[in-house]
Amino acid sequence: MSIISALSYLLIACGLFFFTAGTVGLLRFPDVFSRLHALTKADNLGLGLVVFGAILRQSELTVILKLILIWLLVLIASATTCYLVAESARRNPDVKESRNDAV
Amino acid sequence: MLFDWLSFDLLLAIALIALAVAALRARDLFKGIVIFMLFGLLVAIAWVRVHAPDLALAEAAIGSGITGALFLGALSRIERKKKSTAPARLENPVGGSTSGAWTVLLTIVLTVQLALAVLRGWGYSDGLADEALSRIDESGVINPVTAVILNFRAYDTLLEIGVLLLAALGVYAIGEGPTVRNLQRTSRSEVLETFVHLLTPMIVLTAGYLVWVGYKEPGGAFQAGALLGGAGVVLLLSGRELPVHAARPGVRIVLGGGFLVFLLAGLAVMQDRAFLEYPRASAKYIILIIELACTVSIGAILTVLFAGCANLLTTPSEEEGT
Repeated sequence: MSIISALSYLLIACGLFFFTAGTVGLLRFPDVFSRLHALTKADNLGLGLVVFGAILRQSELTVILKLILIWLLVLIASATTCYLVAESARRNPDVKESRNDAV
Repeated sequence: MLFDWLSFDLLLAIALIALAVAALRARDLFKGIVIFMLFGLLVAIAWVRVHAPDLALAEAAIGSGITGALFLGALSRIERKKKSTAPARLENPVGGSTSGAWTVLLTIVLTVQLALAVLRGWGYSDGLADEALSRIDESGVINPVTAVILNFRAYDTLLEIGVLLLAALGVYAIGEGPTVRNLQRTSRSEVLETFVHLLTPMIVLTAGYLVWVGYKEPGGAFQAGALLGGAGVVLLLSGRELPVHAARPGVRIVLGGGFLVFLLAGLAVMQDRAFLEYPRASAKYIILIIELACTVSIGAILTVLFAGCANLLTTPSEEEGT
């Protein structure tokens, strides 16, 4: 196994760790805001690491650019939806209540 | 290695069944819809796993995205109506009760029938796949899926576009009025505006790419149209007024254009061949023109469907109530 390949596995594993952490945060944190915090922070980083790990396994430039584009789009989308959800929760206090029966 | 993939597929299959059950049994309709959208995304992955990327794209865009938006739109409409009468929480009609039991029974019977039908036909025939693949160079395109949908089986697709058009007409027929209500004026914000400004051109670009690439790779009018419909939904949700007034001639042309162009293309070749039997030399261009027209129409129709089911097609006087 080459160093590049090993590095890619390591990055993807780290990414999955952050995804798991974000999901645990979503399930365990008490209210909308801290859940959002866990999800958006951890998942963006997790996806970044997974994308970077996937890039190391690619040789075609177009595929690499597409992967980076996917990451950027998800970053923008998740930042925006995070803001929208938080804003809506701030406006409607009843949504803020903890709903641990969520899933 | 084989075990790895098997275990992934097994997990996927179990997750699909679990999500389907959860979507049906969710007491809260909102939860049910979210689970349904998640289900759609996993179905898309399942299509990828069986090497059907065209279907995966369509499922992700239409099955999960647009259908989810339609459900959420309908739910918001129901809740707005309920709010004026009773504050009771909406309950999923399928979960529990005798009607639920009947649904389950019916589903099991249908599933068993379907399984029996598949098993009986096993080994008899490989379907028309070989036939289609062997004559693919007559179709004018390289992607076999596009060849079947837009050429060999074009009549089906024409009728599908027709059904979509009828659905949009239905929305206008039962909708209360012509103008689009400006949704969520209060929650307009810089963040959302910037997002929409950034996203909309990219969606249009991607839709154009999907149509263009459809002749040789996965893509095509339905996937691209679903993306445009998604753009329409985003624009409506961000509070923009889209000109979907049915009395405007432009709107009628955009909605009906795909069906019309398809129909005219089918008729135009009828001088010396059958309906929709394109001449080999110009098939590629005919298909491209049909697909472009259908993409625009599908996008517009899906936008109208969303506007209709979210009750955004109301008259100005009705706005006061909400």
